[in-house]
Order: sequence, then structure tokens, then C-alpha cells
Amino acid sequence: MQSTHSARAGAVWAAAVGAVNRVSLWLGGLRWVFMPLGLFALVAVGVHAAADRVDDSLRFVLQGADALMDTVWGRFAWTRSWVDAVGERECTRAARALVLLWELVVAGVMGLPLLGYAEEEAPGPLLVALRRRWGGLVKDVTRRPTLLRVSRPVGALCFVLAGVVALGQTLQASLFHAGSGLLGADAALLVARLLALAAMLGVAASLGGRAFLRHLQHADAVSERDEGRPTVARLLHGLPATVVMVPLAVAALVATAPVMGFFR
Amino acid sequence: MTELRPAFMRPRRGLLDFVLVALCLWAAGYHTPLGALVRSTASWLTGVRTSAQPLLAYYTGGVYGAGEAGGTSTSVPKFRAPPSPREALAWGVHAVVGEQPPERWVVADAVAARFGQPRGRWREEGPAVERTRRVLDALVRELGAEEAAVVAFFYGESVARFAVRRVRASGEDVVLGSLRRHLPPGQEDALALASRALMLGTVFSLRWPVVVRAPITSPFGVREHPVLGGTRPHTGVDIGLPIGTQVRAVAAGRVLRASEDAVNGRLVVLDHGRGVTTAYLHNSALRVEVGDEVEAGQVLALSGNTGLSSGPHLHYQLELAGEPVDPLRFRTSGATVLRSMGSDAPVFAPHGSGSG
Repeated sequence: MQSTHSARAGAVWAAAVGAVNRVSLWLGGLRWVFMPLGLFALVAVGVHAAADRVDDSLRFVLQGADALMDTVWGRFAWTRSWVDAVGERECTRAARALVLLWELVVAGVMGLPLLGYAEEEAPGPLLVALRRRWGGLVKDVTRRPTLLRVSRPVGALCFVLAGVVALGQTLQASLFHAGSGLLGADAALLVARLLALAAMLGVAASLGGRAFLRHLQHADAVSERDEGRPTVARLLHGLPATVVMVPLAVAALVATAPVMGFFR
Repeated sequence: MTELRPAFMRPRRGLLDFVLVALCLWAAGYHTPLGALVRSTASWLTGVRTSAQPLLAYYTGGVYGAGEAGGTSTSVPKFRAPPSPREALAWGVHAVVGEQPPERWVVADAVAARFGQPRGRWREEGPAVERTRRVLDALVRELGAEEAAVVAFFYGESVARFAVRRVRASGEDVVLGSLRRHLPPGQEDALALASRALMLGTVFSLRWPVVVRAPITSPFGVREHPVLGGTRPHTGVDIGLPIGTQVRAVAAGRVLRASEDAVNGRLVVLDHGRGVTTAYLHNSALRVEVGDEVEAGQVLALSGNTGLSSGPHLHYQLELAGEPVDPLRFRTSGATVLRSMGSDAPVFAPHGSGSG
């Protein structure tokens, strides 16, 4: 009797594993669709988390600039009407519009190359292939540095970290909300933290690593194309986008600060 | 060993990565303006309700969708004496809860019941605002912050408690801006309600900027400009004052601007947080600097006649979620404004006696 039960359970288990395998293999064929989208989404979430930290500061800066300009406009009769054209409301709206524009530009700069993500068949063991394929590219960052080779992968890393933290926070809150009625607050909190932590680690390892390497790959391809150009032009290719991206990358690092609180 | 062209290897399977990608897309849907735009568009196409609007409203100048608080729907309470900030907050919560359809009262009812208030009847019978204040007091004692207590009214107590724990663990201040990162997505309308209740609570607690009795020389609204001529909107009220009268902060806040120009004269703008800002124009001298944190009642400036002004006065302006509103509408206590023979309406002096 006992053995019949265990044989049945084994058959059910094997059938379930087989079904998951088939689904997994089928989804494997669609990786070219969803992987680039996932990479883009992760970086977009990170960029938004960073932008979320700067809008108040920008409003403060715009208020200062408006005060300065009002002093100038107020001096001449023909520009006096301009003083009231911009007030607190306009400063607030301008700050938020600028932050939105900033966010969209940086999401474009850092996200669009990720849509060019493509995969090939893996020859041999994963780690060996990984080292052989990517080792040279990583070394080139120090051997033949360009602005792109340094700034884009580092920026990607900042936004990936911020995105992972924001994802973890959102997931944890959702799981707690969904589970607290069923499991009680303490158990729901524990389950939510564990699952969110697992998701964060999974996303960081799988998508975060790919986003970093894809930016390295993209920066290398652009830098290789620049080889024939004058040295300064080659080194500083991508400067405007980098200037726009770097402050948000720093804000993204600030946005990752709560990650330590995740373990408390 | 030859170095291969750097390329990504394709695993044969994709289930785990698919799940991780789905999580990223889900987070992007709730966390980015692009996601909100996609959700709003999908909602428009399918007719299914979405919670994306408050996120987009924030970018168009609102405070998490609380921008309509300055509209005509909010009934403004009248107090015999200036209310305490907690009492004003209770009025704000009471007003916002009361404006919701009954099916949306479930969460607030449960919170009130937990603190001994009669479920379903606490909003309607007897001293409803007093009951709201008692619940707020108890929530503030338990959660340790007013903003968390208000969040509890609209999200539920356990969700607010969770958010407070996570915010504290992250070492951040317990304010709506940090709490919202730990609130479940998909309920942005509750965030808009909490945001609105906080804004109303702040505006109901505002004092008047001068402690002397003084006439309103030009009300809020469209008017003939006394100096420039032509019809223009007047975005505040003008209070006729002798030069040198102390102008005080109507609530605690941060000095967003302390500057001078030929139109507004010497001016101060205060940010009180929660979407409330006030401005004080045409002063003769300023007593604060940009970035200063000020207390309610602290002297900001001495009134004057600087800038484009037809006489000594203070132009006092109130903005909610970036929209100028009539400060007299939110004047919860009339004690410091000159009244005409027992009427509640302030006295309006003719133009030319201090306006600009």
C-alpha cells in the first residue's frame, strides 16, 4: 500500500517536473522577446527611483533662479510683466517637468542599448565561456579606457542597484499586504521579506549582471567604431549624455541606501 | 586559448528568467511615469479603472493626486479659536473620509473600530471630528508619526505599521514621501486621499500672518490692477497695514524664497510641506533667509510698500498643490481680521488704500 502511494506521488512529481521543463523550454525560445524588455524595465525603475530623490532639490534651485531673474526683469518697465509670469506654481511644475524629462532622457540613454540585447548558443561550460568571452572586454576598460567604457557600465550598475531595491520594496509591501490577512502580520512579514530578498538576488544576478555586461558590450562596440577618430573625440564620445546621466546615477546610489535596512 | 567575441549565451530554458522579467515589468508599471502612461492608455482603451492617475497627476503639479483639494467640494470648518495642528488634521481626515462613497469607508471604519469607535457610525453621529481626533491620537501614539496615522486611515493599520517599520529600518524620516515606497502598489488612490487629508489638515491649522486687526484692501480673484491697470487675476489677498508691522509665519515651514524685485518688493515664500505654500509680498524688511526653518508665528518680515504697490500693505498668498486659493476661504478663525458689525465677512477697503 505504502509503495503504491509513493509510486503514485513519484509519478505526479515527475509529471509536474516534466510540465515545468516543457514550459521552461518553450519560454526559452521566447527569451529574445522578454529579456531585452526586462533589462529595460529594471533600469527604468532604477532611473525613476533616482529621479524621485532629486525633484525637491530641483524645485529649490529653480526658486533661486526665478528670484534672480525677477530681480533682473523688475528693473525694466518692458520686462516687468514677466516677473509674475513665473511663480511658485510654475516653479513646482517646471521642476517636475524637468525631472520627468531628465528621467526619460536618462532612461533612453541607459535603456535603449539594452533593447539590443541578443543571445547565442553557449559553447561548452558556462563559467569557462563566460571568462573567455567577457574577460578581454573587462580588461579593456583599464587597458583602453574611454568615457563610454567607464561611464555606461558603472551608470548601469547604479541604476540596476536602485531598481533592485525599489523592486524589493514594492514586492515586499505587496506580499505583506496580500499575506497579512491570511498568515498574520509577523508570519506575512517574514515570508514577504524572504521572497522579496530572493527576488532581489535573482534579479540582481540574472538581469543586473546582463545589464552591466550589455552596456560594456555596447560601449566597446561604439569605442571600437571610434578608433580612427582624433584621440580627444574618441575619449570624450558620449560626454553630453554622461553629464546628464551622472547626477542621477549618484542619486540612484542614494536610493540604494535603504538596502541595508532590508536586513534589519 | 583564443578569445571569443563577447556575446551572451542562450540557456535552453527560460522559466526563471521569465518570472524575474515579469517582476521587473510589474515594478516598472507601478514605479515609472512610462508605466503609468501605459496603464492609463490601457485603461482608456479597455474602460477598466486604473490607479495610475495620481502618479501622473504628481508630474502635472499635484501632490499625489490631491490637487483638487482647493476645489469647491471641500467644506471648510469654522473654529472659535485657532485649532491645534492635531485637531486640524482630524478635520482634514474627517473631510476626506466623508467625501468618499460608503463602500470606500471600510478601511477607515475598521481602524476606528479598533480604537473603540462605533463601526460605521463614528463618522456621522455626535462629535465625529472629536472621535476622529481620538483615533488619530491613538494611532500617532502607536505608529509614532502623524503622517503614518493618516496613512492608516486609508490603507489600514497593518499596512501603515509595516511601512513605518520599513522606513525606520531604512533610517529615513517617517513622512508620506518615504512611507509611500513601502505601501502596496495598485492603491494609489488611497495615497491620493492620504495626501489630500494631510494637505487639508495643514491648511486648516494655518494662522493669520498678522496679529493686529487689519482690513482686506483687495480680495482674491480677478480685479482691475491698481497700478498697472487692466483686468488681472489677484492670486492672494491684500491686507492694509502700517509700514513696519510684524509679518508672521502662518505655520511651521522652510523658507523657499527670500528675495526682492521691483514688482513684488521684498518677499518671503514658505513651504509648509504636504503641498501647502504661503507667500508674503511688499515687505519693508526681511527677517529670514532662504533655507531657514521657521516656527508658526515666527516673524518673517516687516510689512511695507515695496515693489508695485499703491500703499502700505501685505499681499498674502496661499497655494495648495501649486494652485493659488483664496486664503479667506481657509481662514479658520476670523479673530484677527476686521469684521463689519458682527458679520463674519471681512471688511474690504476701497482700492488705493494699499494694494498691489
